[in-house]
Amino acid sequence: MFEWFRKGACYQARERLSAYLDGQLPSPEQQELAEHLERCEACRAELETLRATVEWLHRLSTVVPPRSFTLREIRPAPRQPVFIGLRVATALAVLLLAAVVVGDWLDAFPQAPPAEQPEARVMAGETPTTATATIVPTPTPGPPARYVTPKPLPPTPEEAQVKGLEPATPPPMPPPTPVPMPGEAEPGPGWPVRQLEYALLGAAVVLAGLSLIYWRRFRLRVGGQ
Amino acid sequence: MGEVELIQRSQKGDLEAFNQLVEAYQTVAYNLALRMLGHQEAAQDATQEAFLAAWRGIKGFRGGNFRAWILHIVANACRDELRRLKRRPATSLDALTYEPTTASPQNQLLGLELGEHLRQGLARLPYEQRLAVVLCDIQGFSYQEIAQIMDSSVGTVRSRLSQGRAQLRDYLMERGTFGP
Repeated sequence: MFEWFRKGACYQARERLSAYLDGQLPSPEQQELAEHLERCEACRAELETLRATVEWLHRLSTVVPPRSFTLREIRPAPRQPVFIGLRVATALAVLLLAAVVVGDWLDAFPQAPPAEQPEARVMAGETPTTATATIVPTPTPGPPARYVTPKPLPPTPEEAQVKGLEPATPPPMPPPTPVPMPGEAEPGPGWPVRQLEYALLGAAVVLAGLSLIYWRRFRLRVGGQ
Repeated sequence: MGEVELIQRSQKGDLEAFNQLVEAYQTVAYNLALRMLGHQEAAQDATQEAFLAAWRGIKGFRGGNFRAWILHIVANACRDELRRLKRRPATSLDALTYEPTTASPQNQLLGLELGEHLRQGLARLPYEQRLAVVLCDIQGFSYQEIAQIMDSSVGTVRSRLSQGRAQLRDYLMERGTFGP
């Protein structure tokens, strides 16, 4: 029992030996530890080895720096014409891109006229208001094309009675006409706005990157001696 | 010109004034880096990086202990340099021993073998413990200033110092430095 208490006291004492050496313990603790050290030879030995270690560290000499670490200013080189040209080109590309995007958003560019639909000419004189375009869904495994099918609405029985027509006898349907998918060449002389936007964006990014590289090379730098 | 005025002029972009501060603190900064890294070239790189960082950030210095502020930056630069050295597979940290440039009477008194044991023992300490031991036992700073440099409390400094000293003492005992 007494041994257990003694070990606990030694453990606490050794935890505080470093601060005790530096006089960093509060006075009561400093006094308490001094009394313990008088009684405990093992802790005294610990203190002496710790003290020797600290004294050896104190004796390590100060090393003279092998060089000066003062800083020097490196003046920027005169601006290169290439750098100025790159900055102007970058600004132009960005401005053009902004103009095209805004114009696209406002629908300011002429669009390609819609492809001529067969119902416009085939059904002349056959009540064009009754014709409507129906998008037939493409079967999953089938070809990726959409078809516009002119589909005249059959007269209702009441209309048939009034007009003397036979109800529900649709005229012969012309063969379906494939309509190009987005991304395919569209007919008509429209502006290639999307392609123009991509091209200008790419040009702006490349020019900005080159400008940044030049700027990093020629900016004001501060370095060691 | 006083330190405060030099700092104020540096904050206004006066590199000449800042260089006077560099000259005043480069020895203590370089020695801290050298003891932390154990290698001359790495210590030079860390010291230079630290002064560059200090120049770039001096406008953010809000008064107080300028030496602690500079050494805090040096300690951070040393930590970065250690990480960089660990990432570089060609460099072994164990190989980063150095020879002091001057053989002072103190070094002769200490003995080359003991000096080497101390350096190796320091290199084996965890970073925070090594920093506390170097600042306190080699550079002689107070607990309060070490706490400022390490950006921690005095209690934390006391604890790290105690652990670092004990580990270093154990390392020296394993090598028979204390005799039979």
